[in-house]
Amino acid sequence: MGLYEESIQSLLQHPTVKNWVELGQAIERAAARQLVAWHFPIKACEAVGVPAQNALPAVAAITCAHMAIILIDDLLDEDPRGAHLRIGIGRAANLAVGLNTLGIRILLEAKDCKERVRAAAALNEMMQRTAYGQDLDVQNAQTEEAYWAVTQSKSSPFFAAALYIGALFGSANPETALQLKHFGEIFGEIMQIHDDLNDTLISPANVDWLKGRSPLPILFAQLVQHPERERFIQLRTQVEDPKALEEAQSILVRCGAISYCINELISRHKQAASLLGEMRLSDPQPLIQLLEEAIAPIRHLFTAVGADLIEENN
Amino acid sequence: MLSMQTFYSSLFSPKVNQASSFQALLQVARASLKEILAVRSTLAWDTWDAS
Repeated sequence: MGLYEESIQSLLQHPTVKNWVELGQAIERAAARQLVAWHFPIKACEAVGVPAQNALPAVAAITCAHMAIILIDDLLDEDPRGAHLRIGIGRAANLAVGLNTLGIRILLEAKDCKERVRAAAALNEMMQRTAYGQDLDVQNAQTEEAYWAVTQSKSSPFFAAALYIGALFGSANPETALQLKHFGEIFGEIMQIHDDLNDTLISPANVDWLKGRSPLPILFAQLVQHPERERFIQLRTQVEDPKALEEAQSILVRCGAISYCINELISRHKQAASLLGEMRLSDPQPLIQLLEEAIAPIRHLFTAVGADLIEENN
Repeated sequence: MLSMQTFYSSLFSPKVNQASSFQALLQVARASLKEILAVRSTLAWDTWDAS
């Protein structure tokens, strides 16, 4: 049994889960899809030179927290893939709270970790910051400043907490634990920009287009004074028509919105790589690999359009 | 961090983009939507599989 499966089994054996059928079913579904974010505590332990086994409670807690965030996110976005459509809004909300509190409880019950209270506090803080970010997000930010405030509240805390809690379970020194947390914050911004690029370039138009929300490329095309701005704003209301969506997406390319997002990705990649260079880690490779995977799509894009390597372009 | 408007002005300024880091980004802006979609990021934080 792998480490991830082991952490899921520990959740399924928890008395809270045994008494709550829907909670158990949600956790069983998590066993079938191992998201990279759920492995962050393992990567932190490996990076500080401690056996990955130490991270098991942290993996379980982060998995719970992420499932709770997705449940709430889908509710807020009225996402057609959301569990609320299957089990109802009330039960989805209850499940999210159940997962949140289960994650904290798992950390507090990890008797072998002397930093378990600090870890539980970090998870709690993450959920609070994320909730604040979600609340800012539903108010549909329409300025650059508001966009970055939402990103730093909504996306960064999760990755920061996942690495930080992993570091605590790996008995990292406090300075390294905080550096890993900061690395996670930057990584969260990278993931949000990727998310926004995906949401914007997908076809047919997804909920962001249809609900008038403003992921980063759309915000750029709406705010910046460029020759096709008025046409873009007009097309935004017609994106259920595939031709209108395609024209709007083409404007995003031509007006520099996609280039802007890529520039922001490259900037954060450099920032994270620089921070990684400052850390005293036993093995930075797991984090180097994460960064490499996050920048790989940009490398591919640059190659496809005949551009220079990104290292030469900053 | 560059503001969006500053980035736009720099990207499409003939003076700036000739000799700067913006060349590659300008090539992206001149690419077709088809080229961009062919290699678009598939990373998203709720779907990026660890396996």
